Amino acid sequence: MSIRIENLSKHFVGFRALNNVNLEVATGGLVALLGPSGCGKTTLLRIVAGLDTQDAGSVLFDDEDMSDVHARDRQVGFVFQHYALFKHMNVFDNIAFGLTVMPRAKRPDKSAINQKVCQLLELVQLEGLAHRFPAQLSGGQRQRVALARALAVEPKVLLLDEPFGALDARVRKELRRWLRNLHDQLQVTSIFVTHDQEEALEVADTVVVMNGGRIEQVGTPEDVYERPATPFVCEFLGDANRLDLAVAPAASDRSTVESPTASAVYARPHELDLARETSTLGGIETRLSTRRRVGSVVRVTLERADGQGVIDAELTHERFVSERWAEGDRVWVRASNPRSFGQQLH
Amino acid sequence: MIKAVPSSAQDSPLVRGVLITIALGFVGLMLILPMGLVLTQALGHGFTIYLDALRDEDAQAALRLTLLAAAIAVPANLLFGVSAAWCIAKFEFKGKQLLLTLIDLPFAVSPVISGLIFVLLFGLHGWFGEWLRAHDLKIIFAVPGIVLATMFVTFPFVARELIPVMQAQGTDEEEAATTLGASGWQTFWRVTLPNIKWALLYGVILCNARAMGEFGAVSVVSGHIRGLTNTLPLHVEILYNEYQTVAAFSVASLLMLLAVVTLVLKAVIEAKAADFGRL
Repeated sequence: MSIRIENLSKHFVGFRALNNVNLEVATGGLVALLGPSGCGKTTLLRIVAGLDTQDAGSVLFDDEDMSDVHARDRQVGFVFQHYALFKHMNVFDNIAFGLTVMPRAKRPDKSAINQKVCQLLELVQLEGLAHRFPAQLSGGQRQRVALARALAVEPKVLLLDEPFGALDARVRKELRRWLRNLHDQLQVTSIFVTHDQEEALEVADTVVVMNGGRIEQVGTPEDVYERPATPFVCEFLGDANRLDLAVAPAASDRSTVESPTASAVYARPHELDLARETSTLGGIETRLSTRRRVGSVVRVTLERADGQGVIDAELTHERFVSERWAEGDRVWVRASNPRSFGQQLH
Repeated sequence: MIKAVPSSAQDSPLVRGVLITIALGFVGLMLILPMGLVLTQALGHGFTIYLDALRDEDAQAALRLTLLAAAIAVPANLLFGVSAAWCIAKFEFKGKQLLLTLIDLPFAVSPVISGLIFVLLFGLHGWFGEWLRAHDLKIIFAVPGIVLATMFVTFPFVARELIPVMQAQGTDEEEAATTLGASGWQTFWRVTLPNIKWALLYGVILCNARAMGEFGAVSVVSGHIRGLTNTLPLHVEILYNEYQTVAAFSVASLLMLLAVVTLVLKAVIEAKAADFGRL
C-alpha cells in the first residue's frame, strides 16, 4: 500500500511540530524519517498511524483519505520505542492479541491463531519462548515480539518509532540488518523513525531528513549523504566542517565550486587535503592542535590561523604516520569535495 | 550488589539501640497497648457477656448500617476513582490540575466540616431543606445522609492509589492495543485493568476501612438515633458515654478486627504486587 502525505501541519501548545509536510511512500518502500529530537518525525509517524490527529492536511493510503478512519481500523502495525508489550501476558498472548480482539465474524479459530503465532515466532526467531513473560526477555527479544505482534494482523503499513533506540549498540546493529532482511522478505510498506543517521543510511531505501517540522530532503541514502540539499542536511549527516571563508577546491573539482565567499561551504573531515606548504591553489592556514586515534583513523583538530575556530579532519593512520604529522605542525587545508549552498539560511 | 558499609560510616551500637528502643516503645505504647486493652476490656467479663453485647439489637442495627454505607460508598468511589484516574493519567485537558486538587479535598478538610456541608445543603434550614420537606424526603439524620458523608470522606482513596500507577504506565500499551484493532472496552478489560488491578484492590481496601471506621462526618449528619442512624463507631461512643464499658469495648473489638484484616490484606497485596513487579 502506498502512503501519501499532503500539506500536513500540527501544532502543540506553543510549538509547531509539523509545518506543511508533503511526502510520498511507494508500495513496499522502506523509508527512514531522520532528524534531531523535536523535529517532528515521531509526530508525523503517529499521525500516519492515527494515534495523533493533524490540524491540517491529509494522509492517504492508496489514495484513500484516512483522516476520519480510527487508528484501530487503519490496519497499521505500530512498533514502539519501549516495546509497549502487554506485561501481564506471555509472548504467545501478546502476539495473538490482535487476532483475538477481532470481531467474532472475522476472528480466526483457536487452531488458526495457534498456527499463525507459531509462524510468527519462527519468523522473529523466538521459537521456544512462547510462554515467557516480557520481563523475562532481553531488549532485543522484546522488540522482536513487538514486531511479531504488529505483523500478526497482517498490517498494510508497518510503522516503527525509534525501534532500536532503547537497545545497546551491538544488538542495534544486529537487529538493523535483521529488519532489512525481514522487509525484503515481507515487502510491507514501512516507515521508521530514527535519530541515528547510521541506522537510516544502512537500513532504508529512502531517507527523509526532517528539521523543525519540515522536510529538508528526501533521497536515497547516497543522495542525502553525497548531495545534501541544504546546509542542515550536510551538517546533520556525517561530520561536516563549515568553511565560510575563501576555500580553494582541489584542482580536480575546482569547477564545481562557484564563488565560495558568497555561500556556506562545507567539507567532510575525511575529504580534506592536508599539506605543509601553501600552493597556488590556496587553502586555509591552520595549526595541528590535537590528534586522537580512533580505530583505523586519526582525528585531528586544526586551529585556524585567522582565529575563525577549528576544523576537524580525519586521515588514515597509515597516512598520518607516513607523512609524519605531529601536534604543533602548520597545516594548509583544502577541501577535495566541498559542498556549497547559495542561499544561506542561518 | 550491596556493599558492606565501612564501620566508620555506621552509627554506634548505642545510637542504634536507643533508636530501636524509641521506635518499638512508641509502637508498643501507642498501638499494641490500646489494642490489647480493647480486647481485655471486651473479654474481661467473660465471653458470654461479650457475645451478648454484640447480639444487642442496636449493635446489630449499627453493624448493618455500617456495612450498608460501605457497600454503597466503596463501589461508587471505585467507579469514580477509576474514571478520574483514567482521565487524569491518559488525557490532557484544561482543569486537570484543579481536578487533582479537588480529589484531595476530603483529605484536607476536617471530617466534621464535611458533615456540616451536608447539613447546610440538606438540613431543615439548608439550601434544599424546604424542597426535601415538601417532597417528604429525609437525608440528614437518616441513612442517605450517612451514605453521602461516607462517600465524601472516602472519595480520594481509589483515585489516589491509581493515578500514580496509571501515570507511570503511560499510554503505550493502550495505543498498541488500539493499533492492533482493539475497541475501547477490549483495551480497558484486557490491557488497562490487569495492569492496575493490585493498586485498585489496595485502594478499595483502604477505602473500605475508612468507610467503616469514619466517625466525624457521619456523627454530624447522623443524629444518633439508636437502631436507625447509628453506625458502629457512633454506637461505640454512645455506649461509652453511658458507662457501658464492656459493651463499648466489645463493639470496638469488631472495628479492631476490621483493622487487622485490612492490614493483613494490605500486606498480602503488597507482596503479590511486588512479585508482579509493580504497584
